[in-house]
Amino acid sequence: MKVLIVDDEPLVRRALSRAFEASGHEIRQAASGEEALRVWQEFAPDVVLLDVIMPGLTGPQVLEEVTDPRATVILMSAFSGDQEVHTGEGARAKHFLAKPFTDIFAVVKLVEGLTIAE
Amino acid sequence: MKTDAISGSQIEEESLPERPKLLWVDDEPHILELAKRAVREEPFDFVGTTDLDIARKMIRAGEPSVLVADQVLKKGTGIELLEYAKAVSPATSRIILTGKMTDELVEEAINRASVFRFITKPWDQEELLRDLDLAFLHRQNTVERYRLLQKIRQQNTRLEELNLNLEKIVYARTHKEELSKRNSEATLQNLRGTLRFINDLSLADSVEEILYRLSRDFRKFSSVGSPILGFLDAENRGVLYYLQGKQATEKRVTTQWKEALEPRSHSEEDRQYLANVLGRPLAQLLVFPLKSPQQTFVFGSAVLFIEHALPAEDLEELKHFLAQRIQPLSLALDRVLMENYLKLTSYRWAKTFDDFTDPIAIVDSQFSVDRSNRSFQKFMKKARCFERFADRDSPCPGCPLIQDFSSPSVLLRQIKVKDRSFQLTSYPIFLPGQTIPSNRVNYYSETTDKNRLQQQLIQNEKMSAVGLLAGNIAHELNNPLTGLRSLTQVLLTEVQAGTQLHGDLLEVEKGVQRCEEIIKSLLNFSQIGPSESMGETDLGELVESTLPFLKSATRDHSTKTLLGNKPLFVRVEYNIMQQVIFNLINNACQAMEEPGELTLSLTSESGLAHLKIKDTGPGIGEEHLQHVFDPFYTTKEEGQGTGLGLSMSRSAVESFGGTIEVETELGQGTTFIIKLPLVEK
Repeated sequence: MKVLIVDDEPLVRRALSRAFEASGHEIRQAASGEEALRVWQEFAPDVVLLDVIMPGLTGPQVLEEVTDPRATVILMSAFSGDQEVHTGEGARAKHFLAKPFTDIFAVVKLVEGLTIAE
Repeated sequence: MKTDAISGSQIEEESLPERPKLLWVDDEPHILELAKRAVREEPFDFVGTTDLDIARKMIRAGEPSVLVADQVLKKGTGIELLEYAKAVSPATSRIILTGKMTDELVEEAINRASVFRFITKPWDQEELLRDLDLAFLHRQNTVERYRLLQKIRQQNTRLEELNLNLEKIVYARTHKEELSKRNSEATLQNLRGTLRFINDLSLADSVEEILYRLSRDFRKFSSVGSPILGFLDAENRGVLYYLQGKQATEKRVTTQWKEALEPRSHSEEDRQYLANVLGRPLAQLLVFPLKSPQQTFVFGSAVLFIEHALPAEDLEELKHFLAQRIQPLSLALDRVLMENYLKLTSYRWAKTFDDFTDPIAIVDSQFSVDRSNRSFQKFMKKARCFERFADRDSPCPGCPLIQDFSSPSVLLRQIKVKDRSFQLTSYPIFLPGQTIPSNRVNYYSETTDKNRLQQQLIQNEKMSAVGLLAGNIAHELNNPLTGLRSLTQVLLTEVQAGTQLHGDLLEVEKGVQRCEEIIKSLLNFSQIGPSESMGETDLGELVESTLPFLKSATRDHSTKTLLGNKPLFVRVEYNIMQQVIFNLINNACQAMEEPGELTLSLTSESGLAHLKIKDTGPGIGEEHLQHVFDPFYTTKEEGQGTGLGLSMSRSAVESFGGTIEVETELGQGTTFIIKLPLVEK
């Protein structure tokens, strides 16, 4: 499974990358919304883990730009209230992951479960 | 009070009339009418005129004792008229009446006309009468001093004539009557000495100086001690003044010396009295009463004590010597005491007025400030109350002077001056016989309620600022913490369980977890993040469960826990209440610099659970006590505390319907008391 991880926090990117790699997935990272758009096109990920709040383009803004409908998008944010807003308006993101994660491997399992179900 | 320069031709020789006269010159007949009414019960005659010629004629004739002139006259100014009076009738006390007192006016009035007082229009009845009384008194004294100086001058002339004659005679009879000449010389010497003394005294402006001049005059007598002056002060208390070396000593006495109507000597009673007061034995005493022809301040009981060891014939000479000096001495003392009293009373009055911390102003219907105290005068130069007090161009909203100036009752209003609120109490002042107030005294007291509300407001604002800040910081921290924790979890899977490294990583993960918890409670405090639900908890159990987190804080101190056996249920958010207790215990431990005793006690009192956290630290100083619950207020060294613990603890406890109180005693320690409503189970 090809996973694109978009987050401006290097520690978060690294942790997610390591966890997904450990479970045998192919990983690409992006540190901003702009970078995410470039990588998305060239990498064509199955799953995108997308941070909501980033300097420059935000997660939802990135989703408006994306033309590839294939990937499963999971928004991540520390604002619990963001969930309804972002999963509601853009049909692109169906899933929401609240930060902080209590268990990173539970996150990996969750994401794997989501993609299998679709 | 300055004496006018005297020139021989201007000395008044007239005797004082039965009732002295007040001449009031003003263009406004109604002012004259008001003034006449104001003084109708006073022991002097009032003459009011608008005619300058009549006024000048009366002044020339020396008729008025006191002259009041309005500064604004149709023909010329009040100062001009007073200047004229100063020239032709210098003993007349001169008062200028003005609607507007300026520095220039004061300067000109004093320099040109040596005015005695200023009266501002509209005047205050009591103040007017007091000023007029003083003016009459001043007049009496001036006349008396003139009379005395006149006498001196006459004596001087006579002496010169005598001297001339004597010298002629002496010249003629030198060879026959050597003795006679020597006697005459002695008399002459004596008179000259007296004259010098009188001149000296007229320059003295303190009791000390009078005494000093007097004692200098005594030098020619041997075996005579320095004189001791006894008199009653303005409050009718006995005062003794005497020189010790060059230093004047003022001694207040509780018991009065025996009154002396005539000079007396060798009185055992006097000797004992003074010996007791001064605490030393005394030689013989001569007691001389002071007498003023215009008895005003020096009453019958003012005396001069003179210690001496003179034989009888020399004592007679001393008595004679004193008799010559006693009148000028009395007058000088009288004058000095009166001047001192005046200075003192006007100073006291001004000081009393100024020392009110609440603003007070006496204003007229045009908002002009007649008098105001220091607290009122932010902008001294301004004439009107709203300019001076509120820095406004128009009357303050809500000011009762706008519509109700004429109301005869005391008015109570709330007014706002910038962001401060005042309770304004406005008292009317009436001239006698008037039903419409001429002025009002406005007393402003800052409303304490408002003060408290304002404090509350500031506190709330601080809190919401803290909340916002805390929320932002929490979010910023959450991101890296998430990464940190997750990464640690990844690492944990790659390290063999049971190794040192694995244990270290577990600790890191736990540490991060605790950070996340703290951030969560921070978010709860600032009420941004999701709120935990309230639950019923046994407060004792909650304290117990918090203690393990405080092991490092309590390590150096002995801890006494008196939590009781009976569970006390309260409705709180468990995590947050734990945080509060954690904060308070941590603070208590940090407060104790030396190993001390921490006491935690839990009791139930009238429906409330009381949790006391007591330390044996240095206590909290008064200057810090009122701020301990302020956000960011900390006395800890940098890095030791944020100053947020107590303020968050308080808002948390208050959100559970409870309170936090603090009791402290310097050197003994501090107790924080959390009171929470008990829940029936």
